[in-house]
Amino acid sequence: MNRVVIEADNLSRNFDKIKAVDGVHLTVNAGDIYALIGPNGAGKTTFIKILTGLLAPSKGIAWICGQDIAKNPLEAKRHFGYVSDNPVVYDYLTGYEFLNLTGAIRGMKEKEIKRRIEELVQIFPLKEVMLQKMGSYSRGNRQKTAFLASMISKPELLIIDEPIAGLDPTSITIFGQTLARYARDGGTVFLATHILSFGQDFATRVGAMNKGRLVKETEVTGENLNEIYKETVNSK
Amino acid sequence: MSIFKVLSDTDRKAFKAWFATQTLSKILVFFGFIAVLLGLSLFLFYSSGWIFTSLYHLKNFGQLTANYIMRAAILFIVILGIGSSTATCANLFFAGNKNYFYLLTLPLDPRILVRWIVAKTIVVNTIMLTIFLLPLGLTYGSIFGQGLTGFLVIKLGLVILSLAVLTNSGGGMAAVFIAKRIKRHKSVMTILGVIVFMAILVATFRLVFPGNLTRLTQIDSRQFFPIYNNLPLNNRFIPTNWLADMLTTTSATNVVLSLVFTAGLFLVYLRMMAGNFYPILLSISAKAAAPQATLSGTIQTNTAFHFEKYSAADALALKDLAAIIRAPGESGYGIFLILLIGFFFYLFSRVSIQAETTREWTNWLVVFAYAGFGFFANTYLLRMVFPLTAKESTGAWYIFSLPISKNKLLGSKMLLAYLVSLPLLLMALLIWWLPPFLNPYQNLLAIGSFITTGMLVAMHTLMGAISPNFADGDSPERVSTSSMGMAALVVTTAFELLSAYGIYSYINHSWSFERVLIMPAAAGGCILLTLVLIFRQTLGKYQF
Ligand SMILES: Nc1ncnc2c1ncn2[C@@H]1O[C@H](COP(=O)(O)OP(=O)(O)OP(=O)(O)O)[C@@H](O)[C@H]1O
Ligand SMILES: [Mg+2]
Repeated sequence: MNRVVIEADNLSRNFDKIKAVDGVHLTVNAGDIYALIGPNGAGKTTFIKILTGLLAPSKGIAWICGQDIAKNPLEAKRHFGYVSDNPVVYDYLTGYEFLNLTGAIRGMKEKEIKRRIEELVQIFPLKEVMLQKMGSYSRGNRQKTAFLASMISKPELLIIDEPIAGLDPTSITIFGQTLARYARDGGTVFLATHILSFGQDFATRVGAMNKGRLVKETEVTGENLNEIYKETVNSK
Repeated sequence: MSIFKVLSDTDRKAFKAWFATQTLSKILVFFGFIAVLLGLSLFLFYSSGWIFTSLYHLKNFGQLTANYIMRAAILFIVILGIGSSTATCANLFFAGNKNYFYLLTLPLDPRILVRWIVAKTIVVNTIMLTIFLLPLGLTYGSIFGQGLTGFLVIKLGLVILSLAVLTNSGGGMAAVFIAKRIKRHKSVMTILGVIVFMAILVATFRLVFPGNLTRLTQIDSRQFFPIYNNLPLNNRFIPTNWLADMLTTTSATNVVLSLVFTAGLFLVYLRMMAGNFYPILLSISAKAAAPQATLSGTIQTNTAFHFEKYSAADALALKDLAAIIRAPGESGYGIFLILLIGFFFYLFSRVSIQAETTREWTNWLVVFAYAGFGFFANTYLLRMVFPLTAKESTGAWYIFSLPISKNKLLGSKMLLAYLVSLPLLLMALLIWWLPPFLNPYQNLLAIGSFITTGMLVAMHTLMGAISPNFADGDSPERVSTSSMGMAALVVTTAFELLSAYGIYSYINHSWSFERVLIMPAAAGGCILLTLVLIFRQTLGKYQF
């Protein structure tokens, strides 16, 4: 099962003179948990925003499940759930309302939404929190709620920018295990993170970025992410 | 000195950054804005030229009437200018500019920052005042004075600059006064502020148009002067008259009086701002840091919104409705504006039409009522409908990462916009039965204003979605007063004026009933079509 889920071909994005993403070629197969690592300003977030259609590339093409995100954004967006690195959404809605809303926007049936939410709120102990307006959420609870929302329609692909920044240690483990289960069931995960130990424990593949370029790409098993990270930072 | 350079650099960069994205459409908007202002200026030039010329031929009292018009114009400009300066300055305190909060953490002399802000606002005020006053002053001077001399231009420049300083100082002092007293209840303050401002406007109206004004048209010259000299606006102690008289007379006393008055007020204002600027910002920012009560709290399932029962577009609209309902400030503001319109028309309906009042005067009242409603409707829409898209705010990334087409998004905003405007549309249909003197035209006014208002709703929704100001999405009043909001105001006002011109033409028997309805509708249709085309170009390319 080597179905290609994400394909980036010479993807580039400039901001004035800054090459935030510079000629990145990258392929992610179904069932992978792909971790993007690299120092601050390496271009991880910019790359993810191009993948999700929030930013237009200066050059190159990105396909999500075979759909060109720039040309067929709607078809491409049906295939993935996304969580931003700053997961602020609707302060005036409760967590439950937010999940319901996402389900409705994604075109799900009422019964299906209800069933799915029942499943999702089991993942983290959030039942009380979900009744409160999101404006009062802590950073970690915001992150968790946004993550649950990205899973609501059981998309084939999850794209998550800095998923565990702000999560407590217990939640990080739960989160990793959830991703692993999701990938075992055929889902694909693409995430950017600074927590190398998390990548080491849960990712299957890793890509290292520096100054907009994809410096190294490899399987995680048998590699030491700390070493890879050091090499990346020292690359010119 | 170098700190001024830093501050001016910051502002210049912000200005350039605004043009960095969607450059073409923003440049178009920018030039469109300038074109409309210039057009307004030209319109004032020609219409005042026409009025003054016809007054000039009215041998006896022509110049006196023109002087009266100048005094009234300057008084209104000052009142409106002080009002808008108060709002701008209060907004600076309450909405808080992120840059200023950062500057608060630095060891910076408050007087420098205050001088910078004051200098900036005076420049902007001067430009705006020039647009309104230059044409008026030039036509007056060339018709009643010695023609277009350098002396006239210098006097005009002096008057405009004094007015800029005067309105800025007055408004700033009012804002400091308000901010020092009411720090917590921003919405209460806004509502009170608007009420006071309306009261002042009404008082000014009564000052300019006192009861015995109409009698002046029906009497001979011997009776004229006693009445004219006793008109309340002709009181020698009204400071704005000194400024107006700088243009209409050659006496040096007025120049001295005006300059001394302006400079004195300005100095008091500078002292007041320098002493209060930081303390006010500090005390307000301390309160802003505490979490808002409306954004916390538990909601049980039975009282929650059930988005799962709706289609995608309806759910989206419902989400925005939730945002309005759950922010009492928002819905309160909407209700307040609606009540204000009702109140205004109630007062208006009490205007008694006396036997001696001319037919012409009542005709003007009809047009005034129609245009007045349009003005109120536009204010409501600019505040409640225009910011709807921008209100996605920092959460906007979410919508744009979901599989919703731009058209569906716009559709949901339209749905919500008409829902929010429902009270207004109802008023547009019914309010004409309140003032009795609108009697012969009620059907036309109702249909006309219903169509116009309906189109205005769509215009505001579209203009708000063309280049939404997500960064300021959390404070709708800042969205409304941003440059795009001003552009929307200009476009919609132009459309409204056309519609009001139709009513005027119908009353004067030059347009037929059908034409009055079809012409503005066709123009509105063209505007909407253009906006849709621009929308499809811009929002589709929105970048995060
Ligand atoms: N909207 C923008 N305008 C201008 N420059 C930008 C913009 N967004 C990103 N950049 C620049 O692009 C480069 C890459 O930024 P990006 O956010 O993609 O890095 P990152 O790898 O996600 O960093 P971090 O680990 O801090 O999240 C940086 O130099 C940044 O300054
Ligand atoms: Mg990042």
